[in-house]
Amino acid sequence: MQFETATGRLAAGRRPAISFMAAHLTLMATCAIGLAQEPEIEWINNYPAAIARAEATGKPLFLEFRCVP
Amino acid sequence: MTGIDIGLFDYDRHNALYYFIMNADEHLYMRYGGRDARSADSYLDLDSLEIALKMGLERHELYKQGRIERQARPEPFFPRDIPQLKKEILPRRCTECHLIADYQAQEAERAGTLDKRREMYRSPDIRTIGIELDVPKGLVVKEATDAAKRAGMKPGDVIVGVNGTPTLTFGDLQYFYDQMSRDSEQARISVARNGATKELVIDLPQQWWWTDLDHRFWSVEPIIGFSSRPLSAREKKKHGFDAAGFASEVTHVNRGAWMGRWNDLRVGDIVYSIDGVEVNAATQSCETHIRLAVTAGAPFAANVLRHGARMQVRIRTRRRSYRK
Repeated sequence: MQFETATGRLAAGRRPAISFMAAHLTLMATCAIGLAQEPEIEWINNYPAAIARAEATGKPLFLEFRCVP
Repeated sequence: MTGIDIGLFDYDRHNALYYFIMNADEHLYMRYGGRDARSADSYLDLDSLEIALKMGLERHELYKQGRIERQARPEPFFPRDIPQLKKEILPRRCTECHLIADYQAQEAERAGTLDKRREMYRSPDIRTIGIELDVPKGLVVKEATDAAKRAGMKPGDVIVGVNGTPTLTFGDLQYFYDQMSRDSEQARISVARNGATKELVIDLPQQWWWTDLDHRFWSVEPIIGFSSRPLSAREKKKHGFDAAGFASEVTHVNRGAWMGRWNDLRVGDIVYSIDGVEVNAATQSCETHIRLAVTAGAPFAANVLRHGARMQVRIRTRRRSYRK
């Protein structure tokens, strides 16, 4: 099973600066792989494009809102 | 955020990180995120995120099989629909989530519809009602004390719903708990225990909605320049104050407030009345009463007991400009 994801980055242990917040969109292979192999996560910073890709692939989406330093 | 439907993706905008697990139909399976006043990271955890992701995949399979009904979509609402935000921010720069919250609060304040208990004191802390979660395990209760314990909650319970709305993550729990009217006297929390679901009715304490506002930087919150502690029932009786009142002893006067002559308060003063009001059913803290009742930047009159003498003190508040 796979995810389409919409976000910036899974920043384990990283405290984001509290300044700007943005929505990002991206692809993640599997939830386990996605967590273990962060550099391979393909994030999509375009919401309509991520929706279209999720529709085409039948995958769910993972949407992230985060502060952008 | 400029082109994002914030009506659909509604959440407490003072989170540094917030996630939605959803599908291409924009059906939201769950939220992941949430914070408390202690830290932006209190409820962010890779183990619980992995649990959420797995549940997201399961929910997606169920959705594809037609076993989950599609949600009704809220009315679309975009940052451009907030007039002052559209005028002051959108032409110049990316729209910060925190600004969306602040501009919405300002709009409500101008319209006279701002409920500060609901809009300013967002995301009530579940610890206030005695729920301590085992965060890496998602919604597993680590310890139940106070009101939650009295309602029958036990360690090991898994919270599966609040007021009839299913919850899969802490993000869900905090969001739907936050939706409650601040006049509510009870919360219904459903827990899974030994294979069965049990609904617990929690009697909410006064000020269950109160949280520390320090990390929020609202421009609608009056900055008052002093700290205080509410008097005990015994102290109120001794001084002849209303037992239900918010009389409080000043414990600290902010140096900037003193130098800027915002007020003439002294440590040890007892503030027992604000603009002629001594009782607020929502709070027994004069600071909280001021934050609720006074418009940011406006002055007010405080009645004060100082060394046995009653006097009136004029107090100025400050309004934050936020980060515009």
